[in-house]
Amino acid sequence: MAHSPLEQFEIKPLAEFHIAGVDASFTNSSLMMVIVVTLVTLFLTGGMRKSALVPGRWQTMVEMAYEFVANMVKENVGKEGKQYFPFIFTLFMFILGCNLLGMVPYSFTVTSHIVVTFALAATVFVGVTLIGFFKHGLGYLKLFAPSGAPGWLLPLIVVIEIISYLIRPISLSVRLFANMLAGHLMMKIFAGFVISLGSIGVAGYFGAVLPFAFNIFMTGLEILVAFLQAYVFAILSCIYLNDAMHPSH
Amino acid sequence: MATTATTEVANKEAGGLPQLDFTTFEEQIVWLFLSFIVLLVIVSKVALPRVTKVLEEREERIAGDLDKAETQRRDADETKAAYEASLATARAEAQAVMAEAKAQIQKDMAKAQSELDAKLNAEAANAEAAIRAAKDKALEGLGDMAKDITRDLAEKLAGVDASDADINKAVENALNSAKGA
Repeated sequence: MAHSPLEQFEIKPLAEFHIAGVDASFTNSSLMMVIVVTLVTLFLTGGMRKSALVPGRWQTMVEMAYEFVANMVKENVGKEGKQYFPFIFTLFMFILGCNLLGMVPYSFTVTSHIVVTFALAATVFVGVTLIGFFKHGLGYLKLFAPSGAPGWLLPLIVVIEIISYLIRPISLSVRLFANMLAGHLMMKIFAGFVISLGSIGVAGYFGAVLPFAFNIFMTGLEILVAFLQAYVFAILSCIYLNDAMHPSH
Repeated sequence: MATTATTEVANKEAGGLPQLDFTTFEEQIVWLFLSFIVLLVIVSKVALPRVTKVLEEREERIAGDLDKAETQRRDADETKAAYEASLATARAEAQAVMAEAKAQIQKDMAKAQSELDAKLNAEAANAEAAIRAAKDKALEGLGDMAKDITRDLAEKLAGVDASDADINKAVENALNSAKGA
């Protein structure tokens, strides 16, 4: 096998930059991020260029995306969550864009790198924690002591709650990263089967049909996963945000 | 297959998953935040306000249209009520006019009838008077004729030359008895 299934995840520098001692080299990952930002911007502004009272197809898609995330925020955070709607919307569109762009052959999947997903999850975690303490002061700590729990269980519950709270950024980032990694790895491995079987000869051609068909199925599944993981990331951020807004529930 | 892939990668100088190559972390984080913040600014300052504006305008328009429809419906109801009221008034007026006309006609008819009756009665009375006059006249003539006939009959049949006084007396008696009959 000429190509390793892991080769698709390699970071390849396109231009080296070092600004104030920070490595800011422009890589294939950076390129994809810039493309995602451009495409999302084009999608949103292009759909709204007419701002028609009766929307066309493109505008309907933009409005659907808007209302999808707006409802998500409203249902999970409530009316006070409105000021965080742009952030959640950006988060959703950015992750969705990265996931979907990663499905284009020869492209690179930004969200298949744990450092990217962890940075996003950590941003959400730190932001939510700051909002919680800013809004409720030390009252935010009530989050770790659910009301109605029997007193003798409280020490145990508090410990469990604190651990589950601190593990949030890890679970949030690993979920997205692992889904992207596993999906793309599977597709590459099965594509490798098609190539190696095809090189055997005529008998191999027939054998190659099976992994090829599986890859078609996987492509559909991965597009679903791309949407699903962006949705899960955004909705969990909303739920964490809700905890910060209403800690004692 | 997965194991061979892993060994192949393990043989490479970097080793293991590219995701665990710490040297690439810094640039990824830098570009992630850079692009994410740019997108956040574009989304919150440009893209979302436009969508919000369109959705609000549409909501206002729909609410306004519904209000207008409700007002128009109320107007239509009022117009209908006014129409029905005027219709009822018109019907009542028409019925009054008809009753009046009927009464007038009956009055006229009764008048005409009574006039006709009076005229006919008058004519009948006149006719009766004329008949009576004619009868009286005829009866008067009858006396003279009867006297002549009686004298002629007495002369020719009986050969009696009766006196005028006798003849007159006999004829008067006969006429009186006929009149009395």
